[in-house]
Amino acid sequence: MTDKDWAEMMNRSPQTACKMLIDEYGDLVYAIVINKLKGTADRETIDDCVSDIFVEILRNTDKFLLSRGTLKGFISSIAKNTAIDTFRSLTYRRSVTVSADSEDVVLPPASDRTDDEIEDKLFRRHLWDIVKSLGEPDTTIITCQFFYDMTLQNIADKLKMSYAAVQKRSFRARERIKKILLSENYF
Amino acid sequence: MNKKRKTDEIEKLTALDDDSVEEIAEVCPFLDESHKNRLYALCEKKLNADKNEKKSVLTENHDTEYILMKSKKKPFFRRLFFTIAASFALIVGVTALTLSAKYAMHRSFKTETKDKSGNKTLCEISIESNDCAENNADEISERLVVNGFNVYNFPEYLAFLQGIPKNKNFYKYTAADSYGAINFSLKDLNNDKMPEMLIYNYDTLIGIYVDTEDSSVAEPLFDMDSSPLLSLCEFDVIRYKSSDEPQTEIYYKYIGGKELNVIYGMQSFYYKTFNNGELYEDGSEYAYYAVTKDRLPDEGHGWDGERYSFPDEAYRISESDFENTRNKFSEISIDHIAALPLYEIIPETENVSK
Repeated sequence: MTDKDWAEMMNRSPQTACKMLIDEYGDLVYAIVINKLKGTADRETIDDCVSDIFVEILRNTDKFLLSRGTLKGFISSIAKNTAIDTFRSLTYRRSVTVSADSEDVVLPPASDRTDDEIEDKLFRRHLWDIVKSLGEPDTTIITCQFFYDMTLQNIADKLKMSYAAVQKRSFRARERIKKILLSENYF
Repeated sequence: MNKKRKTDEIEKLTALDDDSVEEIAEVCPFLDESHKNRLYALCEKKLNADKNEKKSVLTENHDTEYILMKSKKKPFFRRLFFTIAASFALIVGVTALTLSAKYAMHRSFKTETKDKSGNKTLCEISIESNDCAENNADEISERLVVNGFNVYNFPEYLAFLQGIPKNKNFYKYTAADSYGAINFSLKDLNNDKMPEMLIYNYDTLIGIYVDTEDSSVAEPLFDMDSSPLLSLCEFDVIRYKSSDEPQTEIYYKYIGGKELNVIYGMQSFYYKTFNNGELYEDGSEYAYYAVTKDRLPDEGHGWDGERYSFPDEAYRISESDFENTRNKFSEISIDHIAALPLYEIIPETENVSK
């Protein structure tokens, strides 16, 4: 589906366009939302956020048509912003006011933190490259287990494998990742 | 924004870079078909809600003609409809509350019983809350009322009734509360006098036989073995001795229960013997015992015509053991009792209602 096809469909039948959008970009939006909300929101909230994103996209179709960007870029930016908003609203609701003088608040100096962030980002990227290099089904198992936070049973169901096989493969894959990271002096 | 929240936020928002996320979505897509459909349904719902909201804004702010038209007709009917609906809801609510309160206080149901000739009798059974103030009790308890007779301990009452032979038409059972237990008195309705009571021997298990004018028709009035419930009975019986021994009155109290094949019992036996109208002897005896079916006391226990003899020492148990067992019997729930087909348990409703 090209961006043009989708724009035309949006004019003819917004419902079909919505379905096409979810079929084509649902996984991307879900991955973006998971990336931001993992550990903060439950599955229902994540689904709610994803649907909010698609609704927002459909509401702002005019803006996309006027812009010269790609639909993918447009969707990604709306997804990221909405996910960040959701994350903020969730953490704001849950946050307990902590005094800056409190002993619990330990923050490194701002400059150190920026270095850490970059380093962290690079490490995560590298880790993902290693996971990709594991090959199937190990890549999917590790991604589902640690990125999508799926249970081993759900992964087993998804991949049509036994629970024990998934457990064993996950363990071996992690061992391999550890070996690679050790050989690269990451620890 | 406090510092702690900021830390969390930075941590989350730098989890993975955009390219990696995009790759993950490609390499390992998360959504299956049903999940996509669910998402689509959610979106549709939200979009529809959007449309409705827009419509309502339109009608309220811009479509003056439409509003004017509506104000002439619909609001009246709408108000009327809401008034009727609200009144109806109020009536239903109040009725439901009243009924539920009443039901909590007084649960009642009726059942039909048949006698031998097939005549149907209506039997009203209700469970009522005990009135603390009236009964000077500490706690509210429930009592079973069968045709107007109060019964506090349901299992005993039902077990008792269950053991009564169906062909015993001439006894009236009355039940009155006494220390939370039951006092049953039996009355021969034909001649309005107490029937002869005999305590039967242990070798046919515990049972109380009614000795009528003709002792040959004596039948077990209460037989634990016939009761599917854990049986427990407690009642006082005033024994009027037969005419050849008019001087002795025996006040007999029995508490018994059955668990599996073990019969537990406590007997308290009071007696007064009169000689020519004067008190000759006044005494009492107690015993707690446990008897098993396959280990019954020798014959000769029980009432021998003059005195009551307790089982051997071997069958005696301590008072605390007895009380522990007795507590077990009391744990039979009301629901269990209520679920039983009472028309079978209460054989002679006609008698009960008199």
